[in-house]
Amino acid sequence: MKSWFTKFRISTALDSRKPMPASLRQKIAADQSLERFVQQAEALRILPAPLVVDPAMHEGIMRAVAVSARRKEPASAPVLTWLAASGAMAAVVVFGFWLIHPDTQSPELASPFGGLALLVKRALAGAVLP
Amino acid sequence: MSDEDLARQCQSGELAAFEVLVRRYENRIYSFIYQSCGHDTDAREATQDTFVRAFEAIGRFDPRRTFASWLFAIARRKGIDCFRARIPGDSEDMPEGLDSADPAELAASREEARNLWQRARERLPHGQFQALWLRYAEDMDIAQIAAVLGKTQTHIKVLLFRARQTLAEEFVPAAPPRILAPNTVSL
Repeated sequence: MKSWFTKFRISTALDSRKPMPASLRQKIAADQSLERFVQQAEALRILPAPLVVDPAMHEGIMRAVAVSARRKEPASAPVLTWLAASGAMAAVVVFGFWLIHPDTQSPELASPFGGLALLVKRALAGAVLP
Repeated sequence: MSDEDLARQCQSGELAAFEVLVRRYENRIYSFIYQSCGHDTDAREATQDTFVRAFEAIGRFDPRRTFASWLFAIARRKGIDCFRARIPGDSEDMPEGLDSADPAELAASREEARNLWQRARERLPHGQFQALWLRYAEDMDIAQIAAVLGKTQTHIKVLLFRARQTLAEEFVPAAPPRILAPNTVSL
């Protein structure tokens, strides 16, 4: 139990980035199992040769990131497309109406823009009035 | 330029800044995942997923935090299936590293280290192995490791202690070869 606790203290001291306390150093020097514990921990400092990502893998990563970036962008596009399409459709309908009834008596329908204004006015009135 | 500054540029949509971060971290992330799971194909896939996820989530990165801890935390989550699928003793041979030009002595010590780390990977639970790798290979402190692994600092201290204890108990150094005296006759 005592040895377990001492090893825990050594382990914590190894991670503290401070010099090992003298009392622990003395204990390590006097006990073979503690010495082996420290030796094994120190052996881990030597790392295997670093692994290297090859250029093909780097390209693969960047291609996947670029695809993700493109997927991010069109998030607002469907709304804009929908607005543009419905606006164009409304203009075509009004223009068609004006072509069919060019001799209308209403001064508001004398031009396609007047017709559009009338349509908007009526739609607003319908939305506001009960 | 610091990682955190680059991350800030990425947040305003600069893909070039993100590529710099990829170059800085790709080897480290690949090594971390590969060392934890031991399968090259899975490690490559998880590395790619890590960077894609990081790019998607970069808007939520707080530049006051360390970028490395944040990225390694993503790598840990992305590699989790790879780590779970790991069967002890079923790992591929480690891909060759960059040691072809090393002097013989360094190459020998690297070979020893490679064996030690490979055995550690096979014997230790993956949480202990990851804590050990982040401590030694990434030189992270306890607080950073805790942030990556999503555990308390006390838990990390215990994980590191248990890992070291297991290694010290299991891998008793081989006894030095007996040297016979010159006048000894061996039959």
